[in-house]
Amino acid sequence: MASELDRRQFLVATAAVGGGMALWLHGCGPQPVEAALVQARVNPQPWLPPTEGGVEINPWIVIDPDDRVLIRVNQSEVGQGVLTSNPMMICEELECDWSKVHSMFADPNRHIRENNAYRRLYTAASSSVRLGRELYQQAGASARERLKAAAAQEWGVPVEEIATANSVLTHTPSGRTLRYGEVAAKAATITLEREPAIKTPDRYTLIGTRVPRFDVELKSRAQAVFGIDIRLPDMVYAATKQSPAYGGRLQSFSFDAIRSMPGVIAAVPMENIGSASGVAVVADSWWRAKAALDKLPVEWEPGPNANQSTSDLIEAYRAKINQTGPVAIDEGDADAVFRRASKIVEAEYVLPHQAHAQMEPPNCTAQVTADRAELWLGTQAPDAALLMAAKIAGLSPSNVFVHNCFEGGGFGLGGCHGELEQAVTIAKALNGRPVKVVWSREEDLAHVNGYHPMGVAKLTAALGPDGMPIALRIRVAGNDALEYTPVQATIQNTFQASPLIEYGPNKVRLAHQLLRGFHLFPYGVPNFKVEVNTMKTFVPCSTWRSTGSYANVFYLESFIEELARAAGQDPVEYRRALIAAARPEAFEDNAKDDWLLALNTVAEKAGWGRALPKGTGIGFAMDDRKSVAPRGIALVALAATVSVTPSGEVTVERLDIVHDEGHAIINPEAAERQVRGMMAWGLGPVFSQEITFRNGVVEQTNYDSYAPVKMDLFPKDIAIHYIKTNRWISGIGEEAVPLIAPAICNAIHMATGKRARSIPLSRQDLSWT
Amino acid sequence: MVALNINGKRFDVDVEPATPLLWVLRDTIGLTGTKFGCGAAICGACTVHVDGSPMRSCALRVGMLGDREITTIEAIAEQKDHPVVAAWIEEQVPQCGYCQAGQIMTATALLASNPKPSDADIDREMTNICRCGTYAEIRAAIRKASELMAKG
Repeated sequence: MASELDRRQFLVATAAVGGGMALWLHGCGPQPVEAALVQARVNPQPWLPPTEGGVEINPWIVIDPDDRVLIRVNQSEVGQGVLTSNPMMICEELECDWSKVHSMFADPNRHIRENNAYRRLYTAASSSVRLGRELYQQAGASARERLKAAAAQEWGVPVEEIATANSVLTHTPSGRTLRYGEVAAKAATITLEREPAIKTPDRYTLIGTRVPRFDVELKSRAQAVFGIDIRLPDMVYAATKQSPAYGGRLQSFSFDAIRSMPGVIAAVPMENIGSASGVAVVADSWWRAKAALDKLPVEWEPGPNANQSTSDLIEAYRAKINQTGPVAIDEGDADAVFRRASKIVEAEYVLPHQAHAQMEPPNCTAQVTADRAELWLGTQAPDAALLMAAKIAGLSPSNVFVHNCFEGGGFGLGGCHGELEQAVTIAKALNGRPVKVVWSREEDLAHVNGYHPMGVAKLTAALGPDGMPIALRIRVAGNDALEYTPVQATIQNTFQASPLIEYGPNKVRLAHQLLRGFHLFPYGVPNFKVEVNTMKTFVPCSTWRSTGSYANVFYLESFIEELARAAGQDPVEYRRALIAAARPEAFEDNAKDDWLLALNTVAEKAGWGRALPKGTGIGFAMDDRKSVAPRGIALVALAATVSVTPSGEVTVERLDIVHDEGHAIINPEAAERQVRGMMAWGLGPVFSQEITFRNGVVEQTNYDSYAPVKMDLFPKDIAIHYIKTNRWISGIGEEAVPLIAPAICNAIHMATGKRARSIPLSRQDLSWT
Repeated sequence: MVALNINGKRFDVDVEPATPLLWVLRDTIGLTGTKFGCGAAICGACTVHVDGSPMRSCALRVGMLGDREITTIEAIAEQKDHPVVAAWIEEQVPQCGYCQAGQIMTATALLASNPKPSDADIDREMTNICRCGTYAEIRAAIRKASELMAKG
């Protein structure tokens, strides 16, 4: 029986740190409004507005009598800046006083109750701008016109005579003015006969400017509330452990052994929850729960994968690429060319699984009663989280409330997996008492729901007398990056409904993520064959920053330079010739000339062609992130300047990134930080990061064995250059990630003659003489 | 009961002496600015100052601290014009923000003992992990903070 929570555990000392730093008991009713919040752009609890009040013009926009504009944001804030950039897209049209704009997250409960009031409420695939810009501009423009119509009624003048700027409406002929706050209530009652057109980029005054992000000060003062920071009255904590081996089952545990440890309340078995069966220990603090969990005697059934290791997986994948597989593309007759060719270049590449390992470990706080459920967590998919919680709690979604917090890292799998299922399940058993589930870092690495796919590929080319490839065959084997997506429940309208498709004249069944980048091939090769083996193993896989592009770009951009070197040719000129030889239709969005521009620009910026010291090389990679179902592109080219000591120590001296700018980048301040951040993300797997399995268990246990790149290995010289193109780019969140590994491996080869066809490099001997 | 000296105030907490300071700060007292990232003193998200030195609070048992002066991010962040915080804001350092309290605590201690750190000093001392990769911005902010401190 749960013991009464010792209230002394919540010793809160409001005076402890001096004026104004009240310590929050989050979510337990109206918060004291501090003077600072009135000026705040965003509430430390971002699911709430900084201040209440105002008139709702539409679900995105609320206007106060004093002209403060509250923007409700469709996406989650994972550091990419949506709490600022989404309002920029709306306010570009609204023409309000930007200094009075603040923002919060849209309400998932309302979204679902009102039949997708916000159209989409998740954050994935670098799509916030791609899938939202027109909607947000329309929301802003519509509100502006309604404000004008309200002023027109007020003055009895034609609406065409009214101009708007900085939250002021001006009747141009007479000079009369009204503020937005004065007509907001009237505007809210007005329906437009016709929706206005949205601005074209040439008329932008806010989009494209460098705007300080709303949440920077909160985060610099450690005031931002993450899911893990939630504290509620009467809350208990749970530490959880799932079967170490995937597919294993909880057999038994002995609660008696921990029953009398301090603060222990219960031990709860969890079946079919999260990615594996397991057990939770509930206590009055997380440390006490964890300490008890560590001491809890548990027996596991090893399950069917207890003899499976990464070496077995690699063997199975390699078997696939050493035979003919499902043929997705077969242009010309590559097999015939190979039979008679004299110069054949062939390479096998191997990429391991990866994890997300966001700084904020998985956590979820839930409170469930017979007729209501409330959740607090940082999630990239708050509506999917709501539906999942409703299902587990057995409640109608309209009675489930998700409070989306700041998220301590997304990277493709932020929130909404096993920890949520656990929290709701335990909360249901606690009948109204809130519980916070927090995973240890070890639990996180061992139970990602799921990992970035493992990939293996064999690329074979026949070179003609001029050294150019006359036939190319690509055979890949990999997991589907969309095998598990928390947003599956809510993506039907936007992404391909099924990640598995029937492709090509042979209608081969494959995961489209595995074909990505090959389906429209940017290098002109007359005989071209692609075979795709979609692998399903005991390792659950899901979206990880750059998904299917990651592997395919590694294979292709490495191999292209291997071919160039085999032909004794300059790899930039080689790529140039191959792009030039490709049909224009082989480029989504007519991007052929842009590909050449990006290549030439990055070569120039990196100083390609200058003499380099011995042991230094420059390697290239490029991609446009196109998806098999066309949805827009963002062209990126990267040059890595790398030096390697004779003993094989690699230093990334400089990274030159040429990025498609398109019509506009919403907030260049945020976008450039994303690009630099992508470099750090991609460098970890190059240097040392990998997820490997031994006897069904993940071998990496913490940030020492799964080591992200740190300050000392992060290049000090990163240059970002833009090319102006005639498109709306598909996004800036993950596009440059796949370029890093192949560019570095290409540079290392140039510097040392050693070709790494697998990463991490920690496994390779790169010494040279 | 364990007595602790945090941000200039005494706290008496009813926890086991082996409890890490991190969890006493977060769960017992409610100072949630100090973050949990790894529990193994690897990532630095839990960095506090103990008698001015940066230490990883996940590895500090409260029973061993005695009356040492513990400073948490809250005491740094509440200072409106703290040069490190001001630099962090000016350079727009945080992305997700989760690691930044630890980064600021480490940077503050670095600058206190070395007001004009070189790149090599920064590389050596700033071992905190950032999954968002804000390292370039952190470097810029440390240099900016150094300038602000020099101005006085």
